[in-house]
Amino acid sequence: MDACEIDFVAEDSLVTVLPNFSENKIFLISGDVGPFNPAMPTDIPLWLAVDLKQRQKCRIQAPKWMNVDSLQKLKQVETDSPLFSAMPDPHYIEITQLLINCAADDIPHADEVKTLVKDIADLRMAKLKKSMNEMIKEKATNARLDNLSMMEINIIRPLLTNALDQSFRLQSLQEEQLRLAGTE
Amino acid sequence: MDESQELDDYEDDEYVSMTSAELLDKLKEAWINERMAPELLNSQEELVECMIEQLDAMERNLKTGKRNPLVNSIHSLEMERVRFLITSYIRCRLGKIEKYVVDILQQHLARGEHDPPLLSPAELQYAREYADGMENHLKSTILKHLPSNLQNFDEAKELPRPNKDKYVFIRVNDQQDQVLIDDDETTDLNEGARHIVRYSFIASLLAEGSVSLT
Repeated sequence: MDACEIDFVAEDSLVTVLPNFSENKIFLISGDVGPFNPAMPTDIPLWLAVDLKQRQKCRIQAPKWMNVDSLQKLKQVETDSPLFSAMPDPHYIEITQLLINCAADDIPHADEVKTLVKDIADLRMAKLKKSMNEMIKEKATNARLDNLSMMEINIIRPLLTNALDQSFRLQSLQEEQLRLAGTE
Repeated sequence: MDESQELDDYEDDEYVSMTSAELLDKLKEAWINERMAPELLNSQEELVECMIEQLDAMERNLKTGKRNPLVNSIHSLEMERVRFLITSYIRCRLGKIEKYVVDILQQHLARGEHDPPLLSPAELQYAREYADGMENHLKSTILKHLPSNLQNFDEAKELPRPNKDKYVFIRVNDQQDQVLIDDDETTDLNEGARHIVRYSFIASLLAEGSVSLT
């Protein structure tokens, strides 16, 4: 899948916004949203929040985990652990990117948050590349990888699946050769 | 339109009612599964038809209702998102049908009356027309000009088939014990866990819905 399609899936996550207009409940296909009252926080899907923000109809509240302290703790946990730790949200990368791009003024310490999330993502990618390397070298034929987000899986998908496919094909050819040699 | 949207979905002579939000979630899951799977998955015709009905109803409401422009544009935005989902899903399926058309037709016809169908009626017609078109095209441009003893083209031997041994990432929805995930390895699949395995081992679990691709 493309990165933009992963974003599409991530955009259904809920975020809290503070509207600056009044409106009754809206009955969308994906669920009801509203009613909207000025300065009353409401939960709406991310795609709607970004649209309203761009029309200057609301302010977006940063998700609970999107603050410098929590992210620093998370980064520490991720550095110390050899495995992948659970992320606060399965779409943390996409949400951070979308919110910082359109609502940086609503996120306290937006620059620091952006750097921290990028650092965590880089740490995890480095771990992922290392364990992918080991997996391919050992010719492992299956693996368990909890706590990976959809975007991270999508990034390594082409390399990992193709490498494993090729190694499976070579192995099958080898077994076929041995089998034929044995029957001759 | 002023109550929350309830839909009815016929499934095997049972009345399964779900909200439009649940319908959308199921369609999204079907879309992701179809994108990631190497072979064509079972047709989710009812989900698609229900969703299209929803979209049509919404469009009629927008035309006749007197809501303010902001609310109308929010509805339009969501409708565009849903349309993208449906069209991408159908496009993906058609791509696979075109790639493996003869194999898919054979599979579809081999299904029993009580098995879930592989193709929707519209897809079946498309597949047949495509297969015929390709056959005529190949015959008229190539086979006709070959010496007569080579003109027999045995399709059954040369079919392109999907690679069912492709590796896929799965997410476990329902706990499954002692599942064969490798030639010589069985393991328990815990709910919420993610694995990378060969597609052939989990194909039946995927059709049931116990795992999803991710």
